[in-house]
Amino acid sequence: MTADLAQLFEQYYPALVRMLYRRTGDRDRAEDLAQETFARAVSAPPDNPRPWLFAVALNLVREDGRRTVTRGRRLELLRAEQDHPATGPDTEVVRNEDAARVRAALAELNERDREALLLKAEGFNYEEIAATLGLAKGAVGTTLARARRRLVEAYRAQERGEHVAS
Amino acid sequence: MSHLDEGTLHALLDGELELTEVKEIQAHLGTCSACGSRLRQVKEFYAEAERLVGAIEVPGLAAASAGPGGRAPVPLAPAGRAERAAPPPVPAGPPILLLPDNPTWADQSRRVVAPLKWVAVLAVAVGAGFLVSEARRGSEAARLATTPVAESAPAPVLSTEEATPSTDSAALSGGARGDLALADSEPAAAQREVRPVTPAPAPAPPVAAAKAKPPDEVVDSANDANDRVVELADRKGADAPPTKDVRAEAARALEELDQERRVARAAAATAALDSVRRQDQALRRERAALAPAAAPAPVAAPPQPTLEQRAETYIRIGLDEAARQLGRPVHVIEGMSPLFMGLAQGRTSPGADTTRPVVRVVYQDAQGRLILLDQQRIRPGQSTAAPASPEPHWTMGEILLHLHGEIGPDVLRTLRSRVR
Repeated sequence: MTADLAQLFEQYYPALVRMLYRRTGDRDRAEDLAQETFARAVSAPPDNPRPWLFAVALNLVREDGRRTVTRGRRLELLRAEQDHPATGPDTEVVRNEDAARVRAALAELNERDREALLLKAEGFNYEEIAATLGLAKGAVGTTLARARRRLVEAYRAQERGEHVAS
Repeated sequence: MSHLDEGTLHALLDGELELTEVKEIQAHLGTCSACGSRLRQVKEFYAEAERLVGAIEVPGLAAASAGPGGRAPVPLAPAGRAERAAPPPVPAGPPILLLPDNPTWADQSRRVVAPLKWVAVLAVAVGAGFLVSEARRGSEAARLATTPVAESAPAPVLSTEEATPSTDSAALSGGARGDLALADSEPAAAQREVRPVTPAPAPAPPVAAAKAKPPDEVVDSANDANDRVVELADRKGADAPPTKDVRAEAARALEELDQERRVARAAAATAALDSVRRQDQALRRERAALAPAAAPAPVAAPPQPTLEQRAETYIRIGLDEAARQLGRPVHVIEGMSPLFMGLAQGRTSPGADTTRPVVRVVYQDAQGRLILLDQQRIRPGQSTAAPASPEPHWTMGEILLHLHGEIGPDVLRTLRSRVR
């Protein structure tokens, strides 16, 4: 069991952190949520790990957005890590103006569109996206089409200094 | 067929449609200019959205982030407008077909001219083959007479073969030559309505590599692509004029020429190799004379273990998870800041229940040595007897604690009194 979990961790941790980072824009938070996802896998080992892990991670993001009180406490120890300099959450992103614009554009999408897009970026096929987000497989193409179009439009609006509601 | 919606076009570009659906769409796109124009627009959004999402990379995680199905970072364009005017192509991967723009009169005329060019190439190849075979069979005088022609023939023949793989075998051979045939040659242009993209061989471009599927999927898609190439070749064969015997003769002639050329190259290479070998041996003898006791080659230093490996933790956890594991807040050493907390296998902590993980709080002293404070909730019936070890091992309420690490037992005993 532990060996399996270690293998899962090695296999999916970077992809989970990347997806969560794209979703939250905060590396520490993304790592923390990824760790919490795997911690849940310790107590309830999943049969089909990839959709399970990403679905749990996305649920945690949603919960975490509502539960901000305990966040600071949970991260307290990890922030003391020596090999991990304590930088501001968006420091890396702020350095890159374009990346910040992309994130802002991504934030303007609705939850489902954004998650479908992020899962696709992690190599999920339509069946996996449908299973993870609870969609019909036939609706995934439309969801992705809308998500991509809105992302590009929002990004272009960001470039022009406008704000586009999704 | 009604007009194609955006979702279907995205599913098409994502490689999610069945072959029959693709064929229907392809047929529709051939006749509907509105859908053709929509497809061009969708391709633009698709490519740009992929690039934008790929542009957000976790700082410091980019190199290690190419997981299964993952995607390498795509650099952002410095000037968005200029890039948008010519968006990057949709990365190679799941999409299996490149659908055509609506045919213009130029395309159609090219389709008419293309077979004529092909026939002309065949005529050149056959002529060259005939001359070569004549040169071989003929007398000494005849050979002398045809030699200049035979020597000059291979260049155009080989170049035309490479540029336009007119035979089925060339189209099926894969590799650079096959790709070229499918991508650029005029016969391929004649088949543009069904133009499979074969998986790129050897070093793939960064974007293609980043979108690479897991190996089994790659094999499947490669098989699919190959099937389609076979199908394409079959169709081509069915449409081709009955010149098989002529082409076979030309192919034989070319093969003979190729063989001769290879023999000559091999002989030249062998001769060159001998001289290089002699020079190499002389150089070695010289070096041996100058430096009889050569220093052994430096051995590459083994990679340093990570903190997690040194602490034998398989996953990092936060305070919440630690408290959940223990059923109470985690114990810490007063006055010390932990590096991190993690779960370790029970067998790595003497005295702990080996069937369950232990919560391990990891500290580091000023010399960089690790100090590990293990904690495990005691289950009913679990033995709490301390193992035969000089390291501190005790219980606090329902928690079994064990302090160990890379420092001596005396220091560990001192630290025990500070555990809260």
